[in-house]
Amino acid sequence: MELKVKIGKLKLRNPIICASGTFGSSDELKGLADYASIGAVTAKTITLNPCPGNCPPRIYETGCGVINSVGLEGKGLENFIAEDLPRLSKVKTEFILSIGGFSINEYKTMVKRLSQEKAVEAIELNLSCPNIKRKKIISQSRKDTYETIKILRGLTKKTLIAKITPEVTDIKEIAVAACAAGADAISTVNTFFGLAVNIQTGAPYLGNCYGGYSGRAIKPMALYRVWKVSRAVKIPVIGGGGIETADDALEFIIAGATAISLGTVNFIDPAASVKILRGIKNYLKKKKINNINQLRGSLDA
Amino acid sequence: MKQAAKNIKARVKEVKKLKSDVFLLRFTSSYISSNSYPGQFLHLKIKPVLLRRPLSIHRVQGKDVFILFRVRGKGTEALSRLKPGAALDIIGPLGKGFYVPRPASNVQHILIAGGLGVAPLVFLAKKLTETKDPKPKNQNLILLGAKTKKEVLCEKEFKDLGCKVYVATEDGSRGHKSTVVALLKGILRHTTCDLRYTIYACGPKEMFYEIHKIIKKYPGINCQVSFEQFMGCGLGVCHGCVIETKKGYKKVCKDGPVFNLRDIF
Repeated sequence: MELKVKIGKLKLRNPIICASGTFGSSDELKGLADYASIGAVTAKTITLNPCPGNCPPRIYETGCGVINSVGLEGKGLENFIAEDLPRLSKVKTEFILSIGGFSINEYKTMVKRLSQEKAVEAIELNLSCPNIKRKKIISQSRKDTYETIKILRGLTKKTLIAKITPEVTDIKEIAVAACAAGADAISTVNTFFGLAVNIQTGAPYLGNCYGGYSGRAIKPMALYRVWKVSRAVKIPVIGGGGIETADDALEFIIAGATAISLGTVNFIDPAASVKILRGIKNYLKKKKINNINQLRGSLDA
Repeated sequence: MKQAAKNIKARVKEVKKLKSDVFLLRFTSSYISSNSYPGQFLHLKIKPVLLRRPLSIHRVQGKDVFILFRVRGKGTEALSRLKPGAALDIIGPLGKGFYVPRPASNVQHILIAGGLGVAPLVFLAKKLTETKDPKPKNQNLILLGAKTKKEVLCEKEFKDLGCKVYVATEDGSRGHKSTVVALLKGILRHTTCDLRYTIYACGPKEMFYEIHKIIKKYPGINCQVSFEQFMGCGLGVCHGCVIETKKGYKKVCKDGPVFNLRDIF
């Protein structure tokens, strides 16, 4: 049974990718996760300079989803390269680095710097963080998405993945722009905007007021967008949003995702990939499909 | 020394109702009972809520582990209804707990519990008793704070461990009509110079702030406090459970939950 998939130049042993911000920056989950059952892990979004992140509380649970407002807390690029990258390079699976800039220049500096790192094969451009204060999320504008990726494409031969927001009128247009600018793959969805109000105090539950909503509640919305995007572009789509089980993962693949992304579920079960991989294999066996790539985009609609 | 956290499957032995909304859960796990230390917590998967819930280890007895909790929402509500034999999915032990110093005859430990903050302190009192100077000059002091008599918890457990217990209730229905912070102030006022105090506290943040105001005058006192925060992963990867400290944001799940109070305010 063939489970291998390709995202740009990155070859994955199976289509399971752990999403940025849910699986650490290096090998923190060693001992609890089973890296051998994962196609690739995406490190927590790296910023050029150390970033304190947002005011706590940063997490609110709704019962069927999680609103977070972490705000790209991190130690900055150089500290990441010195402290985390060596350990991340040793995990028993492929890895993707996610980067987030507060300006185009920051993206440029980071891409240039990471291009020099041999161990790095793929870079995910986080163009969609809901938790940073800027006029507009890059992937909310077709023009900004195109121009950012076009510039960065010129700076590196490494695999570039564009992570785009679902918070747009037409996500297809953004994906097409990213593809035209030279992205090797699209990753979606990032979180939806969300708010929770404490009616006793009249204040928001989150320190930063609003946040990004993820978890099982967003699955149908995410699936719809992944389906829409994958029909519009020729490059691979990494699809995710609320995936908890193998059945969820298979829905995304049938809808058109080349790889699937696990996010919130990693908080609940860091070894979720084991069960999901087993479930995918069982399904393919039962359906007598010997290559996962045959299943992709087979939605009968 | 500290062992890595594991995902443990266990079964409920008993859920005992202690007060109208306070419960004591007991389960058996030799891994957790032998590898955890006071102040650490367990991350429990509880249907029907999505994220795991962090609960501190109340006490360890042989291979049995106890969790003391108050029903606060859907998760703890479901936990309180579990029957013996029900499956538990636990990740733990997690976090940096209380630092237990080497026994010394001139040290007196003061444990301060605000309400349900008593939960991790019984485990701590037991550890402190075990590691005590063989010829104890000073009993461990326990300051238990509650709203009313009905909410005073674990008084007997501490006494059985040989601790001296002071109770303060807001309405005076039990012990002193006072607060644990006021009791602490009184104790420190009568301090003698041949005695070194170490304070361990768990309770609401407002209580920590009041303790901080008192110990500012006593620079020699070490004070460890256990914090609470909404948590995502519990494993240090999501950066969701931070609190503000003098050294920037720190993760309650990994850098804590126990912090040096002087690093906070």
